[in-house]
Amino acid sequence: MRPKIPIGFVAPKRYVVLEIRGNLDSHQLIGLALKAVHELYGVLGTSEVRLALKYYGKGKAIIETTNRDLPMVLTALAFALFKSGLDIRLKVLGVHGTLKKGFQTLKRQAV
Amino acid sequence: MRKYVDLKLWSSKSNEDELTALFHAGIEMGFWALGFACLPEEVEKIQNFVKNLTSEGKRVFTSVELVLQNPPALRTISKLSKKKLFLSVAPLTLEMARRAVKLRVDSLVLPINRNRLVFDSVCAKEFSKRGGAVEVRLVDLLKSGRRKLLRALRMIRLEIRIARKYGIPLLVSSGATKPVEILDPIVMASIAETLLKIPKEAALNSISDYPCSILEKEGLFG
Repeated sequence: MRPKIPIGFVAPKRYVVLEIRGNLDSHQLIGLALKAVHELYGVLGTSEVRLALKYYGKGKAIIETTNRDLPMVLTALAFALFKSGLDIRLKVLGVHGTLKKGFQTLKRQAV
Repeated sequence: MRKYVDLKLWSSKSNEDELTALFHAGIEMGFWALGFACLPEEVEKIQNFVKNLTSEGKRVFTSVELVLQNPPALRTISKLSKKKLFLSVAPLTLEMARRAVKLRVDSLVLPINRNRLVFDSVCAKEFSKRGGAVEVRLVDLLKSGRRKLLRALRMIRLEIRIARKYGIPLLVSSGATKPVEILDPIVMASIAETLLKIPKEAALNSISDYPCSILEKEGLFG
């Protein structure tokens, strides 16, 4: 059974399509991001941040977050990559409201 | 569509290859215009490089940053303000900031390494009359250690609140020294929004509308 939550209690989802230039696997990416989120926002802040990796392949990734947490997640990613000292660059290809549109952006980029 | 501007890309040796790599990385990230920053001693070298790129139709400009440690450094401002460039000052003390805001500078950089405020309401009142802007370099923030970051953020957030109270625009530049440090404009706006606690629209304006209008005012772009 799906829980019913009042409107406005859950922030709308956002799917960020990223291009990652450099050698970084999905585990490293999410590990670095979660570590940075912890370091920057602490336990209380992290408990409110939604961050999930939905797709990773060929240097492209789709990250699920919410409208509210989007700047926090991008900041944490940039912070993580800077602190790691790895030769990796991050480019935002798009921010979408649905995963389907995120994949459409990926397809468009591939063509 | 917004025109994103990165006001400061640094090259450690002002080497042409390094500068070209920075330029290409910046364009790849989606910036409309890029500023090559240097210290007053290297201005000729950077201006020649910028001239070459501008003649090829690229949107680049020279950006000079002057570190204000003592009063004699203020004399350089009047010399530089006659040139066609983006001039910013980085005062290390409040006294220097109060003197600098009375001169013709485009922006006042809020430094990271310090223990006291360098921008207060007296500076803000004066600076708002002269149409200056307050600038923050993101790479410096991202590179600093945890303790330094905490201290810097506390002071910078307060200084930004003061600046915004007096209607002074906030500029955000990357301050990248390597191509890998150049940030995506959306990431830059996100960092500004999260770390500097400014609204989303102000964060986006700080890397697009405000720098664009200053560049137009200075006659760097039409």
